[in-house]
Amino acid sequence: MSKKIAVICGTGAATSTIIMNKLTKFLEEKQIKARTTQSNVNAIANSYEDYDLIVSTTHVPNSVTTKVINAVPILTGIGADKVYDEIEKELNS
Amino acid sequence: MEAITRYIATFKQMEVVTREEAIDGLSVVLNESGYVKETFLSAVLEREKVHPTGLPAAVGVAIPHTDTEHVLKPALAVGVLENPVPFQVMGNPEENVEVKIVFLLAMKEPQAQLDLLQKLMGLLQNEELLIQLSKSENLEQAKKIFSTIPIGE
Repeated sequence: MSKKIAVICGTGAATSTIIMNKLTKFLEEKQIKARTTQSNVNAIANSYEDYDLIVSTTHVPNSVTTKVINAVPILTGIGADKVYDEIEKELNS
Repeated sequence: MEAITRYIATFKQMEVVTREEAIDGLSVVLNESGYVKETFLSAVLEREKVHPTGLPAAVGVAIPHTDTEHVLKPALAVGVLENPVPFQVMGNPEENVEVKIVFLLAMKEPQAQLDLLQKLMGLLQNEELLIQLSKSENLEQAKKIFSTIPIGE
């Protein structure tokens, strides 16, 4: 079964749009089947249990027990490869 | 010139001491030019506290923004700070980054403005263009730089 990823930022508008776009391309290239949903941090506080992985550009409260990967390096390009590796590892686990 | 530059509403060289002043100075222009509602400024400042937008790129930048409901027309206001001011780092609020360029983003429909966001990301990853932009003197020069940005990888 394909895993479910939430791509989030503070508003669910700006940076999550960029990350969503990049992540979709990455998953296609790697032929990883996963379902991605764009959301914001307030919504995820109540729905995190629906997801296997959260990819976020903002701080996520500790009450969220789903694995969170910080995606800010994808925005700056500095350390982006490490983030992609971590996402891939998490999806293959 | 490319369509992307239509979003760039203003370019300002600014002498400020705090991030609030920087955001305020750019927001005023967006408000007066009819891009954003009166509520935009306070919403951006509030959001910056909770979800900071400083980015430690090759040149420190920040991309303050807020919910689409405060926006009338999509726009980007660019401010180059004479003396960098600290912003908290996106995703890591315990850390600060000295910000030289502020990109105040007014997003209306993120999917429709994906081109703008991608260009912005391309810019963040391009040290040379960031330095050029930080040395720009007017809106025309800034627009020229934006039109040469490759899409971020």
